Amino acid sequence: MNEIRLENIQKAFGKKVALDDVSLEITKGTFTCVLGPPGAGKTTLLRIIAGLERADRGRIIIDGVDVGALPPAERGISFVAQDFALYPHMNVYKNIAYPLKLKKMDPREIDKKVREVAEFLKIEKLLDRNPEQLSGGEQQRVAIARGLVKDAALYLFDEPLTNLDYKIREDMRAEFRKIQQETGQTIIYATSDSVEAISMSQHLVVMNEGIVVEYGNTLKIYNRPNQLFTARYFGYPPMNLIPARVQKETSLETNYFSIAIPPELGKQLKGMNLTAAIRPESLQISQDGMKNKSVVFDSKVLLTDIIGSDTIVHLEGEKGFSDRIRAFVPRAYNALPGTPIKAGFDIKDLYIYDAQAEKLLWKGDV
Amino acid sequence: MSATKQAKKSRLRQIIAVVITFGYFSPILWLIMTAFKKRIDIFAIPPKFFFVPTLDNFRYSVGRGMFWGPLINSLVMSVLAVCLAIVITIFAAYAISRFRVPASKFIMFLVLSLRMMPPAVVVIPMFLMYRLLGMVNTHVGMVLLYTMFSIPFTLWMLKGFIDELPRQFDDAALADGANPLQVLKDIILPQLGPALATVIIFNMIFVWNEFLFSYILTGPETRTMPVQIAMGIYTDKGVDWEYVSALSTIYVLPVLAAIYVLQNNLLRGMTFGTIRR
Amino acid sequence: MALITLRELTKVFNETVVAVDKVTLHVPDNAVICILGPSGCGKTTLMRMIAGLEQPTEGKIFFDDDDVTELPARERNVAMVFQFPAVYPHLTVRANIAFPLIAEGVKKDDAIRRAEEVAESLEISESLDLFPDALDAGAKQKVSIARAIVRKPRVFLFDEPLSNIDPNMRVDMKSLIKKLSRDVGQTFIYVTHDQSEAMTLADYIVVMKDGKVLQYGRPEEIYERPGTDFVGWFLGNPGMNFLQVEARKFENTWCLVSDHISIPFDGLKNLETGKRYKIGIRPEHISLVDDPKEVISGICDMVEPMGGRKIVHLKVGEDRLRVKVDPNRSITPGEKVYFSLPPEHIRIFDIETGRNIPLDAV
Repeated sequence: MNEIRLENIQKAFGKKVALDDVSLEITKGTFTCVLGPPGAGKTTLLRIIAGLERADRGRIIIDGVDVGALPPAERGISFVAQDFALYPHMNVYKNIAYPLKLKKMDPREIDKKVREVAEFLKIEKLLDRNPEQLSGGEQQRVAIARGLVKDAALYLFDEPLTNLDYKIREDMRAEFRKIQQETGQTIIYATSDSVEAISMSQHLVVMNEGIVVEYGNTLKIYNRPNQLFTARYFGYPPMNLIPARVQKETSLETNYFSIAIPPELGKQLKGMNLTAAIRPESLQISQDGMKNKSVVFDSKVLLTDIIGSDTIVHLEGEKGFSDRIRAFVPRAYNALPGTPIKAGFDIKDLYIYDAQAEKLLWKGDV
Repeated sequence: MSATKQAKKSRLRQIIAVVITFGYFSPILWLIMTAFKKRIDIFAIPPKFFFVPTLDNFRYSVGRGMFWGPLINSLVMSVLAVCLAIVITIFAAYAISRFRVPASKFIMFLVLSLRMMPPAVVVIPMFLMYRLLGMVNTHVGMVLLYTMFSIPFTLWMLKGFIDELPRQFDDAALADGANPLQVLKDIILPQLGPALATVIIFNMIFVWNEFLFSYILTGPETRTMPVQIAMGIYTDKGVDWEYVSALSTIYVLPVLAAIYVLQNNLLRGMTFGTIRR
Repeated sequence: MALITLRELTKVFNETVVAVDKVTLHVPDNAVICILGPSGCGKTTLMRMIAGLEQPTEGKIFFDDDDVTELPARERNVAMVFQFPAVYPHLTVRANIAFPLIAEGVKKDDAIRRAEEVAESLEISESLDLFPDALDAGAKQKVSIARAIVRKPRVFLFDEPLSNIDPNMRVDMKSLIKKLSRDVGQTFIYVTHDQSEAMTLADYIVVMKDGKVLQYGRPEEIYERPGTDFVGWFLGNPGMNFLQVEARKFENTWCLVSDHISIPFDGLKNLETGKRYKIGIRPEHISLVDDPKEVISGICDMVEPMGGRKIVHLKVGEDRLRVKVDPNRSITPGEKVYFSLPPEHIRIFDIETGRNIPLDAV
């Protein structure tokens, strides 16, 4: 019973299907990220769990109770929306205190809790200000404080860090994870940012066009995305996807390299439209030969993006820039455009997808 | 050269504006001046613009009777009716704006059509109904009547305002654990300031000015100012200008004062929704 | 093409709020300059003054040798891309891009041909016949960029063009803009709060805070030698770590000492014995070691996996450090780890002013 369960949730706005048969099980005390592009249905899903929206069909079960018909106040959830929605006529203190005031808590108890959470989020100096006097980052912290101040069975955050300064996001990411680790709360967190998803969450729900594409342990999904959509979306920088085919049963061919594969696999893949996928961080580059990698191919440097201690090296693709291949190098690496270069990877890091059905067929490590 | 021409032009425009404004305001000015003139000055031809002001007319009017009664009636009825209308309407407006109320469009139509109806059409049925209920010439009856007539405008205005308030605040409060009534009390009401000011002013003015129903349905105890002014014009000695002018001056003062005090809110209220915050 | 010079540029709002405070800058020709800083640092105001959308309170702006301070925006010949894509909803993508040319009186055929070329370079050729409504935010922003590029302005101004775009598209857009800036070869001024955008795109970075320029230089220079502790923290992902130490001299060796660490540090003639300092070190420069001999230790507080890398948060006494480690290295919270702080990567800052103290004696 110690869980949150969604069963066959269906929701449409007019003719537009927002959620299509969504079923999920969320273990209590874990941090779950819902990852997907804008319009994937993340917000709708969270709003339905919160009770701000009614599902057309399906059940929401929290701690063994079907809460589908309950108003938000009786579900024991806390919800922080993307647009902050700080009450404009209340100062910061009153904003944070409001959920507790509704619970008719003792004013001294309220005061203690508000100050605690304000200190935790480093906004104790802002308590007397009005929302319009705060910067975007400060408003966000206040909204998060208002979300965290009450005890809830489930905390929902809808892209809380979007539109914030990059540096604030970096700190808040760690903050969120710490909050969850220290309090053991159940958090569902919607985001369109892969970095947030991988760095914060234990469980991951990948969504696209109202459908749950994949669901499970975050690192497991990262290491083995079963769906092409996940491979394409989940990763920073995104995975390299290269058209591939099997003509002779013993080798997989792309325009960059060909790899020997077991004949049984070859038989299965022959004639299919395939996509070979390699994570940028699995791709090693070097100007000299590479002995330790099982597959090596020649290319040219298009651009190097040095981001402090990391570099994204863009290699020339078939069509030049538009289908470039990216390699992630965890150090500063500089090369002039046009420099010939060798790129290599281990066969264990190679994924093969069915390009039509968009499903994982084979991964090199099995 | 062009600069001086420009200055002359704008000076001319200012003068024209002042003249027009003066013309606009002249009936009220005339009225107020009359109230402070002696009887001889009132009838002077050509009209006297400079005279020694006197409070004689007010003293005389109070003495004549039927002075405080209608004033208090007008005040009490307008305040009570407007307050009652707002209390009732705010729930309706919130419900229609935020929830799926069955046939809400039809309800809105019905309510508004009541307001648009020419008063002369409904005044006779109203009188018959009121006589049947024994509410003719009662304070309660008049307050209820004005409340009913204030509701349509109030409903349309408040619904419009609430529609404009971002729903994210409602959602945030619901998620914070508020029930819909608490959302109304804590989140919506505090943000309705300008809307309420607008609604109060317009309804007060409506009730304050209303003549026909008061004329038909009131008696001496419940009579309001406009009716008393009309009925008090003629006395045995002819038109009683002193009485009418004094009464009318007292009658317009609260309206001017209210508009002056609330004008900022009023302006914000009327432009609400046209300018994003 | 233009050389931009700003001289003591100042903007004061409402006579009290100093948004930009005496900024003097010399922007070289044909370079990409990123103005980087947290929100509210004055970077957007600075750009709007260069664009002519905001009148400076004091100071001068020169394009090459022309004083443009008093010129209105339309006479400065600049192209600007805003945070939110500005596209005409009633025109197709092709017509949107060609619009500025047609408005300038270029022949329609030429304008369209030019628009198609630009669309090609921005990878939106397939959308040319669509209306903006059919495009996602990223593609719309590409149309705005195309519209800016299609003219030949003196200066391109970008005001956080990627901040409202799906993060997954952002990586690509970033590289695209970089390639574009190389191909077009014009002066680009690019405002951002995202250090990775600035590091990727810029030939020169201007770091701003509270209306003032903190540092101006090449990305790697600023990254390696931050002028203040703020710059050290603001650049880098994650930013620089800081620890408070005391400088002490034991016989002939200098040491940086706190309750938990002690690092021998040679010949620091700029430091005062017994004075407290703030030392900064980047997460990638802290190396975890297995051998617990003569090294510093901390407790692992949290692990942030990041795909191609991993950030480990360490608690060292009261201080917290972030360390970048190999993603395959397994560490669990609560574990005791040993690490070393290589002296050549340590930067020293004044505790009060936050200024870097140069170590010319090393």
